[in-house]
Amino acid sequence: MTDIYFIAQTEVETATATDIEFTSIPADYDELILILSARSTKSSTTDNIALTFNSSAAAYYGLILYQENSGTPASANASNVSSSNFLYATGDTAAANCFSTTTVRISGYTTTAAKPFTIESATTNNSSSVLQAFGNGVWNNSSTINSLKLDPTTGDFMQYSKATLYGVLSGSDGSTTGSSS
Amino acid sequence: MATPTYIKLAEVTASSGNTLIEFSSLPTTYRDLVLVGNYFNSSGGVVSARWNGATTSQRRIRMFARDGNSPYTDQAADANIGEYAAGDLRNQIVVHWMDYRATDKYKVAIVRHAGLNRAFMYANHWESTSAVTSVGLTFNRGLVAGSTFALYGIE
Repeated sequence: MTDIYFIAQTEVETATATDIEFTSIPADYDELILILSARSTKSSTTDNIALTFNSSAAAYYGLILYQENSGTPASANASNVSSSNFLYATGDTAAANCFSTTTVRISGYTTTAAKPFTIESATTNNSSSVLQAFGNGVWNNSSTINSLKLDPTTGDFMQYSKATLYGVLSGSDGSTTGSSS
Repeated sequence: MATPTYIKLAEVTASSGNTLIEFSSLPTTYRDLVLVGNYFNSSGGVVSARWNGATTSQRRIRMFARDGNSPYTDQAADANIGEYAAGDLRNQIVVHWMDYRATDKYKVAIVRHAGLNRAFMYANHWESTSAVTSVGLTFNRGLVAGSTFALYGIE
């Protein structure tokens, strides 16, 4: 048996989509893992993607470390903003067929505590105009996460963008011992 | 048929003031281990890695940024794999302990640590060829009750 479970997958099958949203996320797991392959209609090599939970437009915090092209690494932070904006899509001026890849890991999504998550995101291109990033976010809300929405900040998702959501179940194998003191 | 992976092994919910999380009696059937922690401390401090019950003989390199300042890298001969602050809302730490049963190499862990307005990536290594029989985390400030830690096996 494996303890990571497929929940749902959405692929943009038409020309564009304004957003991708997962709703009615079951509260049966201990973590959520989102895998996203994305390209945006923005006339640039990169577009940000806004991540929101439960349609809430408040109380997102985060920090991102990123490397753009061959320059010096940089970082940016956000405090109490309307979405987590540190996910990236490859933009429409990048070479054809290039998509970004992003992983978001959310622990404790059913707890009443604030919800922390890590982000790893990278755009692709066949030139020097690329970006890779590692960062995090916290959604300071006590509600269980039951929906998750991805929305490119400037453009729309292009065809073949795809998001997949997994649930991870923690527990015991009956022999490994865990303790705290 | 593909081999099943990402198997739950054990989980711990901390009591108030706990400073040590330990997983022992590890199975010998996996290649890697992944520890996922969701935790909170009321005071700022440092989290360290434990291999076979020890925080010695370790080195680490990290890349991090705080509060949007310029990213920074450093390395040291210590077990530091994360930092937390008093004002953090909630922290998440993911430790990927690699090839933990091997007896022909020093061991490596890759760490991603997220807190409020701070992000860290670490590479930690334990200078021992011994097979790993326990892994753990130590905190130099006590955890708040309800902090959770889960361990998984990866084939």
